[in-house]
Amino acid sequence: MTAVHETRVCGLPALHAPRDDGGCAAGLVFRVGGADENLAVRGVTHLVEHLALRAAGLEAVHRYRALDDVVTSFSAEGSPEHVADVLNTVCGALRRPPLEHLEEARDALRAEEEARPDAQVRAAAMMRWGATGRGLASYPEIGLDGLDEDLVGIWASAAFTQANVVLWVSGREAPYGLDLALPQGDLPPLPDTAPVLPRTPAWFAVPGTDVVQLTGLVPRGPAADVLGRLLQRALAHELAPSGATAQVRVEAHDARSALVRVLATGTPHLRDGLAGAVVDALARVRWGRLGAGDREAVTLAEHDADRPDHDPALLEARAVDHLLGRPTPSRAERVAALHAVSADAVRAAAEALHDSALVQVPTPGLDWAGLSAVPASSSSAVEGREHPVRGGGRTTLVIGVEGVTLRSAAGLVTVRYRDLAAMESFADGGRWLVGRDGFRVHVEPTVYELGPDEVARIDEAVDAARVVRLPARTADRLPRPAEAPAAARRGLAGRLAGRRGRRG
Amino acid sequence: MRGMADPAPPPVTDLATVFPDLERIRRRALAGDLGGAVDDIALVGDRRSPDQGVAWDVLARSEGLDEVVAARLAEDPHDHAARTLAAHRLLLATEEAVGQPGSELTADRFAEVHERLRRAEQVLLRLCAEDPGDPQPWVLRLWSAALLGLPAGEVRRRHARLAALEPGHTEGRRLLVRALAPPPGGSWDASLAAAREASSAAPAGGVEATVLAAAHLARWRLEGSGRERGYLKDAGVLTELEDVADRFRALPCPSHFAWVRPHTELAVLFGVAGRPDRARAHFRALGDLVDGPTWSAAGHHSDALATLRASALAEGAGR
Repeated sequence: MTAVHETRVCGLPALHAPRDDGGCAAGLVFRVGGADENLAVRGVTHLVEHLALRAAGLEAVHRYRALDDVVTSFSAEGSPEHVADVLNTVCGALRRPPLEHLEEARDALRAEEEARPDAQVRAAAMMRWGATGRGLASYPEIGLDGLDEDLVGIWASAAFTQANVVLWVSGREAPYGLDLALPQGDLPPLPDTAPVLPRTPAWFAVPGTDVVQLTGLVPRGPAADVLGRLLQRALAHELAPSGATAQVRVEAHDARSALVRVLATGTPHLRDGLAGAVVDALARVRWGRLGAGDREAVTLAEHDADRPDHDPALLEARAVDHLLGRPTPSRAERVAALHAVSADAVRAAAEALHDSALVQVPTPGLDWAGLSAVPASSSSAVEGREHPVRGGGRTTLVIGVEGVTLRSAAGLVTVRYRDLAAMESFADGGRWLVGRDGFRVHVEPTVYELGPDEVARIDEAVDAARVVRLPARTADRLPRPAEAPAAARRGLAGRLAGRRGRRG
Repeated sequence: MRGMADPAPPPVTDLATVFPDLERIRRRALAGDLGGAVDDIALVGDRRSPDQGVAWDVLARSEGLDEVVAARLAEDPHDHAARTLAAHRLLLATEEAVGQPGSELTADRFAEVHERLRRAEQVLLRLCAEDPGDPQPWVLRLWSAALLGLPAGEVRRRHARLAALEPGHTEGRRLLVRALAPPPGGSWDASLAAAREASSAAPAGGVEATVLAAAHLARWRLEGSGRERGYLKDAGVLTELEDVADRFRALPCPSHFAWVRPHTELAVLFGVAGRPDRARAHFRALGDLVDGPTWSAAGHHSDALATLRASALAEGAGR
């Protein structure tokens, strides 16, 4: 007998895990997230989520979760009446967002952006996936100021529907009095996640940080979970003498893949040795002999998996899998599968992690470990009229019918209009173009020898839906020729710095 | 004033022709028994002993070893000893390709050298993972770190891993001091600080004390291109060298063959620094032998040093 029943409640697909201890928890999981947006309107799902949370009195307990880029979850725990009340309010707010609170929600999002806990490693998603889909997780919500009531209302009714939601209930029965009416809609496919990285394993440097982060994709399943445990052990061994620490997380990515994230943190004194420790830890799992300690790690994984099916966190994860089209094993199956994981299966998962690894390091590089540097420049330039930097210099901006290229001694950066992710358009004439591959070119009349006509030609060529309109910057915020960026200085500063540049 | 000494026979640089233990190790390896040769290295002293470092070096420099290693790897691509020696050979070849400090490499040559180092690193990374208790791959990774110019944090991490296996590993200390120097990418302050720490902790008579002499030799070669004497005439440097030499010679050296390199280094340093009496004492201790790489690094001073050596040997041996 399965301990989780698939059923329908209020017309919605539901997973019900009965329990008789008197507890009650329930939640709604929608198959929509930031990865379904485009860069110009990034943040609109998050904004709707906040409006609904605010209506339900839950905004204060909301926390940004980096992996919520393809799902949005709401949940409540307590008496059945309380749970029903929260979920009813959430659905009411999704049907008719309380737009009178739009400004407060916007402020809340800005505050979250300022306090992002993953600030030091936020570039990784963009480096792998560019400025679309999963890669958007790296970006600030640049279009937030332009999200008006109409757009938010349209997005809410299209993104939160009865076709892309699963209700989960942990309790004796579904709470009485649920009213979960939602608009009709479609279950959208997962966003395209073709990587922009030409090859992996690869590394990129973010100077000024004291962390090393390795991310990679492995087949989902018990071997991935065991790999995470063994990697955690190996890292503890590698880092113990230095006092640095590391965390390994294995999270669902889609129906087939799990994202493994290794985050090692040290002091400035230790940072140059962190990457080597992470490389050696992964090598130990790939090639080292397994021992009793590794068996203990598997036993611990089995213990953690041996939770009742009505565990709210487990049930919510099950709801996510339901939306992703992945069957979820029962409690007994989970434990048995972990117990049966072979060393070969773990090593295969470790190889997959190595092969797909993208490593962020504080100082270049990791070529010695067999990793390639993430390309720092575009492979080609557009043809067009050249606009040298004012006052002389080797940096030149090329504006053509296809797009723009920044050319300097350090290389090329090209954004083609057909591959535009977004353009930030300042009323003072500045145009910041971001390509789908994450490269960006700043067209600045104060920096290059160009006038309003050239800027107008760019505006005509760009899809208006990709434009983020911004007010003029004050004179002291306008860039000067000496600030012309070197083309190859792409990295975090070159690709994510829009927010800081705009607000000063 | 001394008269012109009779020319001395050229020095012997291949230690295997003098020390039967080393000759046996080499012979065994060249006969195809790489595992047996590595086992024999284990018997020339404990694992932190500088003698083991010398034995590995002599074995790795053996002519014909590449063929034996390749044949062994063709039979068993996972053979631990063969892979360790293959990596050692790659590092030796890199060292020779890089040449003297300060020499320029063409872009193609640089790319070739780095490709070779990356291959060696891949082998060593796996060896360390497969057998975390074997110090030799970690010794080679320290050397590789120096050749690659890896940052000080990574160099220290590698040394810490080696030290966790074998505290006070002499060759490891030497390589740490080298890898912290500029080049590859460190600083003389860091390099000399590590050398002073190693030297001050060393027992009298032990070669460990001479790590500091090696660091001064490296700095002289780089800063003066092996020509200028100025650095070695600095009173502070000379005082440190004399202190190191006195402690090294205070008691009989317990090493079987690891004394050759430090005596050669001190002979060269004192010879160039204008301390002929001290230089002669080290040449006498060396007898027929010198450390090949150190001797060839004397550069523009090699003729003067050969004369000094000849006069020392003419006065009689006595280590």
